[in-house]
Amino acid sequence: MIIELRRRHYYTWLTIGIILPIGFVWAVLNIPKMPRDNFNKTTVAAYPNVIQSKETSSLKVNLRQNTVMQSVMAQGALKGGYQIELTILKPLVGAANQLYLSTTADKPLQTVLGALGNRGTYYFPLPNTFTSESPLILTVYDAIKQKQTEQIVLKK
Amino acid sequence: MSANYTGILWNPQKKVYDSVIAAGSIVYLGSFIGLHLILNPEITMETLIIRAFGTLALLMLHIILCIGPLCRINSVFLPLLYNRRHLGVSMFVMAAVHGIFNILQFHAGGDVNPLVSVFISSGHFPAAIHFPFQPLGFIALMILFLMAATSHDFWLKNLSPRVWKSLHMMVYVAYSLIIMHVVLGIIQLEKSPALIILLGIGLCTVIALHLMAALKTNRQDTAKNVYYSVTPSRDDDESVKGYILVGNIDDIPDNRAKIVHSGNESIAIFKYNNKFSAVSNVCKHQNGPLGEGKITADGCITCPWHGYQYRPEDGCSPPPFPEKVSTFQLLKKGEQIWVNSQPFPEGTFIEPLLIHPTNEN
Repeated sequence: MIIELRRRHYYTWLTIGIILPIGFVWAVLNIPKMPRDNFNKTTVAAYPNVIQSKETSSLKVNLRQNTVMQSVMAQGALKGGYQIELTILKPLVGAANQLYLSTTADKPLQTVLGALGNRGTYYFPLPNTFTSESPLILTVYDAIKQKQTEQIVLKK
Repeated sequence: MSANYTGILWNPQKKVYDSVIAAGSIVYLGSFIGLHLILNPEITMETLIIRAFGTLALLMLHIILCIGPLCRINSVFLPLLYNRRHLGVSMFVMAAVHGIFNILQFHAGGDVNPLVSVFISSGHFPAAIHFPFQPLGFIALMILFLMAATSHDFWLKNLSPRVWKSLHMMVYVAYSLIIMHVVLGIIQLEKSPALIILLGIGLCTVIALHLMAALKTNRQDTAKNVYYSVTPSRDDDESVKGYILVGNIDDIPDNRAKIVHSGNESIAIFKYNNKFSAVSNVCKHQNGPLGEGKITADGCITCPWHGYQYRPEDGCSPPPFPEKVSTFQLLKKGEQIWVNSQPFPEGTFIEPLLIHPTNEN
């Protein structure tokens, strides 16, 4: 009986010792390559010009533009220089909220901007491909529940 | 100690053990919550509770799983084993707080039953981040609940040690589910690699300790000859017919035993005070290996697993405890000790075999 019990332990741990590390490594290797850093007031300065604003019960969004970049863009040399300022007014439902940017309503999860956490203000620079002419659909998406938490549309 | 479940025998060791568990848990939770509030003051209290209790339960589970193999590697850790169930129940309480707050925070706000929501709220298997990790944690919590609910000796006695032990070995399944719950859950979204590294170290430590302990006991079972290969008596030797050879008198150290197997019987032959006695090797408590224990100063065989005691000459626990194990007849022939593989009823007194009868006179 005792030898039998020991054998059961041995084979159990031999199995766990093979399967569990494989599962562990597989899961770690498959961690999605998405932005995990938030941009908050302490590390990123807000761009000076507020172009558009919108507010819901839980979020406030400002589309901001950099004046210096604006002058450069005016010369036709560059695009970009835009920034999203997002303030979480009350805690979001969901544990793993990501902010996505899209320019088309049928693909709301086009570009991931970054992760959202607790209440506070977050800053996300927009990709250089974005211009003030583009429609702007911001979607807060819970990666665990795979569910849209919030959506804000800034129109031209 | 006894398998009698009429009351919890609170001894000083149990009180110290439980005090250490309580103090350690309070210090951990206080430090975790305090540090988070300093470093991340925006965090909500629900999230803080979920994380604090979840990580504490994970840490406790690793400690629990390390105790068994550590005891098999070095007996100095045995005091940790005696009351390991207290640590297990405490760990379940921490895990339950983590689980309940998770369900309340993430599943109680919708129009679906929260328990149903745990199972249907996610489910894209090919991708690690979309793997339904929450059901893994829920199933593990149910296993831990079953173990905590049946941890009392009442259940050990009524379910039988074999069934009880099999049920409690489900902790290994729960551990595997919990590791995958963590690695497919929070680690997929965690910014810092610290949790991955700590979890990896914990996993490697637990697996390595269990395999090391298994290899060590396997060596003991064979090379060290603790488990003796059965040598039946020769048919032509009537004096030892029905007996099996244990070995020479000097093979067994004082106050220790040698274990032999015959059919379904596992027999421990103890040497003590110039005498030999043979009892069943299987402790009544959890089927622990009595033959790997020793005879302590009070003259009783003491099980190495949880300290249950038996008198070597009749296999009875000292009063007031009711446990009894089988005894076996021994025979000395020259310098060889032989044991009859037919057990006497549990608790039967058998005159110990004197090594040097003349010295006794």
